[in-house]
Amino acid sequence: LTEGGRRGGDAPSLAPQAWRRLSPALWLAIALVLIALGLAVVVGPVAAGQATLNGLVGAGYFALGAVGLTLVYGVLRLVNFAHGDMLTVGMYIAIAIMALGISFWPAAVLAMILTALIAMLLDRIMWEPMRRAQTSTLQLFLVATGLALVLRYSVQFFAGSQVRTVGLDTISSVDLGPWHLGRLQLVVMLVGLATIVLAGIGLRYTRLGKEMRAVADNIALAEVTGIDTRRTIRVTWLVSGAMAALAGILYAASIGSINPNFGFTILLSLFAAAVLGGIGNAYGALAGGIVIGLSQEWATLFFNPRWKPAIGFAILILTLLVMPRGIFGRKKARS
Amino acid sequence: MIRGILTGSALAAGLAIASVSASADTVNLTIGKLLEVTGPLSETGPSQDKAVKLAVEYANEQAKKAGVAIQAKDVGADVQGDPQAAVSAARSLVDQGASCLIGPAITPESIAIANGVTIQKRVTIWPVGTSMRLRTIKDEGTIFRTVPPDSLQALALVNAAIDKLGTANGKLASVIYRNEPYGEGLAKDFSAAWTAKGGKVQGPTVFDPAQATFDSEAGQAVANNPDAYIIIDYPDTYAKLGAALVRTGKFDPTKALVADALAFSTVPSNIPPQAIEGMRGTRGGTPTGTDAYKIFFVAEGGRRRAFLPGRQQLRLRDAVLPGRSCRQVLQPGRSHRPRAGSNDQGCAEILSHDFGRCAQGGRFRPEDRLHRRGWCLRIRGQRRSDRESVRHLRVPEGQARGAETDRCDQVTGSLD
Repeated sequence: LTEGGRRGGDAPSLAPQAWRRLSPALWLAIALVLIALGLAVVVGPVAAGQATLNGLVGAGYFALGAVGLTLVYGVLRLVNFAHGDMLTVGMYIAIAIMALGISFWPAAVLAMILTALIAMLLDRIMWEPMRRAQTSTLQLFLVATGLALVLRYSVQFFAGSQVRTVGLDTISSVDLGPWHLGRLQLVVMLVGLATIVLAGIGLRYTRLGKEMRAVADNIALAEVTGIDTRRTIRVTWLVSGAMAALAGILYAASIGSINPNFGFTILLSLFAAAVLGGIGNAYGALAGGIVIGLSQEWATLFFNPRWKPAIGFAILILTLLVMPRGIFGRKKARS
Repeated sequence: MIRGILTGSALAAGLAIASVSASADTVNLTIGKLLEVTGPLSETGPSQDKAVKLAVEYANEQAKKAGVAIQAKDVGADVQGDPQAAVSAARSLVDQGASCLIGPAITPESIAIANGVTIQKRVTIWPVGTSMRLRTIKDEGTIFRTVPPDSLQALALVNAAIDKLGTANGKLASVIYRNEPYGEGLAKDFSAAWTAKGGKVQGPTVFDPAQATFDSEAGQAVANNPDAYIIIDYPDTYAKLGAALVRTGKFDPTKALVADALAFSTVPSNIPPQAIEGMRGTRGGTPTGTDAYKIFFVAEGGRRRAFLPGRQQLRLRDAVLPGRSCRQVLQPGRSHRPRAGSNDQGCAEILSHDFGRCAQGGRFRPEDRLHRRGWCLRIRGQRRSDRESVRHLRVPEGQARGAETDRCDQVTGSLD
């Protein structure tokens, strides 16, 4: 697991390594800015700027949702197809709490805690025994898919299938010169960015983050060095669950309408963001989300919006052809 | 939409009465409901369910009054807004003994079921699907449609827009639709009709319902300050698209006309009022004021309105009347003894024989239904919980329905 490129190296080569660590982000930022400027020239600054803002909103959704996914993959090498439905679970828990008369933000925090506990509980009763049994990748994939269905239909069982809403104001917008942005969308962008940066800093500088990175690199070696790997893995699930809930709650609050399938519908985009950024990398989720979000919205400047998902994923394929491990992906260490 | 469901279910249930009036054996008719409990039209699922139950109850009541031995019942399954799930649902209903199927509402689901090998020989009633794709499918005479097609709805939309704007000539209509065959076909028909009358079309702006944001789509739709918006969408997506349209700061819902998929009985709470206030739209239906409407509605005295949400929207249409008429026409001992004698013979037998006989009796001709029914223009934005909007329209709450039907008759008249 890496928080910004790769783990630390030897002191003498620190400066070049720092450059290398920054270079994907730097190159990505330069490329995106150049494209945005080019679009401003071609279609005009208002249209290009608005499409860019819209793309950054989408990027916020994708990145925030993808962080938990990429954390779990980084530590456990588990492709968690149930992650999208954890977003749904978090959202519906928040709605249930709000039905008790608690306002949105406290309800969101409580929902994050409860969803995190559910994620940890699932690890305890399901994933941990499978790890012990050294279950194959295919079996894990099928179990994750099955879990996704169980979660989705459990939500339907308890909450019904009808469309729900958080009831926040989805129509107020902030004017930024000739551009506009929904207030809630702005909140999602800022919270998403802050959360990802905090996750990256936590992984980089905190003891727990270092332990998670150690487990991600080599779980046996981490155990030998005295790291409580079981505790680390549980913390990973806690963080992943909480961030899934946060992503689900903010997404649903911002877009205004959800049903039990909403986590599943966004799952593919979350995977795309995680893979494009370099799966297992917290900042990679952000970078991947930005690329997917911007490319989809920029595409609408030239094509009918019906084609924007296809164009977004075409960009994903092209990027992976050039950078097979994703934007922040690192080469496999030789053992 | 609810009326469509009622039409279809009443069609099936009413036929049961007609078919067995001369039979000594009890007929147990099982009506399979393909319900949109989950998926993009889940908002309508509970009402669809109630509508069929209402018709079944009515059929049983009338059978009892007529002294015929019939027991209609309904079984349901969720089609989930997904073609594969719809086929599975249809198969499960047939396994449960359904001799006819009602629904589903969405075009791809309907086509998938029609093409299903095990389902093909079952009678299916499409009470909601208006897509032209559903008009051309090879159904081997087993599919019955109780709503007029989108080729008519497109004309109604054009007329409604002209009614609003005064003329189509030189007027710009921005067309927005959800990326589905229903939206595509209706948008195409509307665009052709609108341009034929001298109007201009912007777009169409097509959106994928699974997208995370709709702001770019909304921006394109409101560009160039169009004179009218033609919105073809479902309630769950319009909650998102509508909010995005309002966020542009340029959207005026009083310029908007929506198609029948947005003709919900009760405005869903997740749709911002600012996205619908003053909006108008079309939906399939029998104009009030027809003899059929008067006969049934006066006879029932509005009692059944309590069964469905959105009381002001509920009318039992003349689709219930075939059964009623048939019951009067088909007397025991007359020559048109129905052949339905078991569950398995089901609706196919009933429909193919007795329906025709009813038509010969001059009381009902199904082909007339398709050609003569118009499309109603409906004033929207009358949110039940939003009394402000009702007052704004200067329509006392208790008379809101009357105001709506008056409007409806005007536009329907221009179509006939």
